[in-house]
Amino acid sequence: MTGKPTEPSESESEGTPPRDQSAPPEAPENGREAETSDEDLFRLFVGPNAEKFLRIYRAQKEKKHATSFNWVVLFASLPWFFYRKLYVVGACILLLPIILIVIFPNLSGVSTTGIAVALALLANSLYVQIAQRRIKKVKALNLPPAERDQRIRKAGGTSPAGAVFGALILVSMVAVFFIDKATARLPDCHNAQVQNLAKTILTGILSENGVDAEALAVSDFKAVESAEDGTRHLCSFSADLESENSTMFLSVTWKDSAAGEFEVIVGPTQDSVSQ
Amino acid sequence: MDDAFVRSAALVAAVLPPFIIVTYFLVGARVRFDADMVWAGFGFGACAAFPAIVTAKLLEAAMGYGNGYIEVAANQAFFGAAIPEECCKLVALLALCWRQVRELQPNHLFALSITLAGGFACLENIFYVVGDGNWHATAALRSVSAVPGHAFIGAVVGFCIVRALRVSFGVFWWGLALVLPVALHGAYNFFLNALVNPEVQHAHAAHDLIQLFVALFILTVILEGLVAHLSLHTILKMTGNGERQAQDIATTPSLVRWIHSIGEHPLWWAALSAICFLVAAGLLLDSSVGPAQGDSLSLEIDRSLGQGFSAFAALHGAAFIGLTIVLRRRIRSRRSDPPL
Repeated sequence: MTGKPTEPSESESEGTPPRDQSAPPEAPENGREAETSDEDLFRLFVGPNAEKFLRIYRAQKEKKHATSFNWVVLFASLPWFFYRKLYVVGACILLLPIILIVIFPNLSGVSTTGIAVALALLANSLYVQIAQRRIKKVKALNLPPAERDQRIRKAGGTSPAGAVFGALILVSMVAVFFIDKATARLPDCHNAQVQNLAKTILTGILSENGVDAEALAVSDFKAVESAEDGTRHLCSFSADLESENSTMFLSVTWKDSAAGEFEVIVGPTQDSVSQ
Repeated sequence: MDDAFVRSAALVAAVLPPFIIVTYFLVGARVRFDADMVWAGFGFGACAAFPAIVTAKLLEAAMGYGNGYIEVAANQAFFGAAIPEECCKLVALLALCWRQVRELQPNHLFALSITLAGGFACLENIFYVVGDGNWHATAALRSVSAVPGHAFIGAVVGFCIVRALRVSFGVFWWGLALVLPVALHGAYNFFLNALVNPEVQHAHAAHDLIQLFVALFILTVILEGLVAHLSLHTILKMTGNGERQAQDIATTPSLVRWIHSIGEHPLWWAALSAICFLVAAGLLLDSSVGPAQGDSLSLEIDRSLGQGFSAFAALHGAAFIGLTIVLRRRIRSRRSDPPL
């Protein structure tokens, strides 16, 4: 696994012609053995589908440039990076755009197709570079071969759990987008938050007028009318205080629909709550 | 807040506290900055925010808000925050290190859980602070409450998992690794949500109720911190001096070595401690003589909470002083140990 034995076998040595003492030493053989050893370590690190990355590995070893297009990264970059245990890189790919948009909100309209294509082109060569760095780190520890191989195998390989987690995050981000779009509806008369707000506002109004509203009870919320585009609801409800019963009205409108903020106006008549 | 410079400053103010808290626990737990998976855990924690948001929205849609401030506060606290967030953080931690979970040193696993929680707190802080008109106040308040709260809960999770792997009744500890964080996180959010609900001000015996909620909120945060530090102490005893996370110095990049040496320098933590005490004094002064806006009950809530946050900042200062002392002792013992 780690290289061919350097000492020739008996049968080989019998058939081998005697070495000319004046001939130069056979250096290329040793170099090729070391290279094979590094390649074996690389295969050990990569694990499944190591052949796909070997072309890039050999090119990088010869200080040449080589790329290959990774179709999986184009459509599912985060799960791929997590699958290949490039956790920090994957997290940066997800979080850096978010941080940039937070600082520069105007960037939110920028298309990400170009970024996705660039990632797909660079992913394999980046992986090979990181693999070589990690293998070098383990080799620098000068461990016995068996332990070294085990460390390299653990440092590399794949993580199906990471891939699943990455896919979960990707699906979540898409789901957040659609849920936000789907749930951006103005709360109606039966919404608990609207009802609580109505009670709170009415209690405040009564308190301001010197009325003790501790025993106020609101109930029987009914829709009176709603705007066709869903941007306004008009409701009636019953307000009970110390055996006195009144019909009150409230309107619900958007204050900031993008932020999901709405406002409630309470009054004794429909006209008093109409804007 | 249109200015990119101001937003960048807010971003730094949002990101710095989680890094400081994570560093505090890394140094306390004797885990190197470049230890395996530490910063991968930070990234995983930040990424876990997205499934947590989706789960919270789905639970909210399923459970609704409810009626009355108690039910609304409880639903928001548990179904809207504690359960989705703690579940997703636990899943992220296990996804990161499940294969090696039995081989990791106790202090390393403990630190991983905290860095994951720190990453989550970092992204959450960015969303809350950047874009807030009053970002400096929000950043300061969250840096002594929500951010360390996440880290403390991460410490509890890490401790429970370490116990689950090393003692009998592992199932009990695994269960505790989920139930305890949910309970602590839910309690934290519940008291805050109840306090800001307008209905509580019109509740029966509102004044006493508010005082009770404020006191319980402050106690919850202090309890979280206490449990986290006790966990750290126990983990260090379980790890022992000889089993510290070892990383060959020769393979560590010099920048990381430099950052690590700063993080382990007592002067750095002494300076941070001084800053915390200054912040505590500022918050206490602000809560005592602040402008009288709003009605008396909301004013009372603001003042009581201000005093509570001041106490949190002072406790942070005390904790950093403690770490300063510990680091000085470690340096002295390293100098007095015979060379290998």
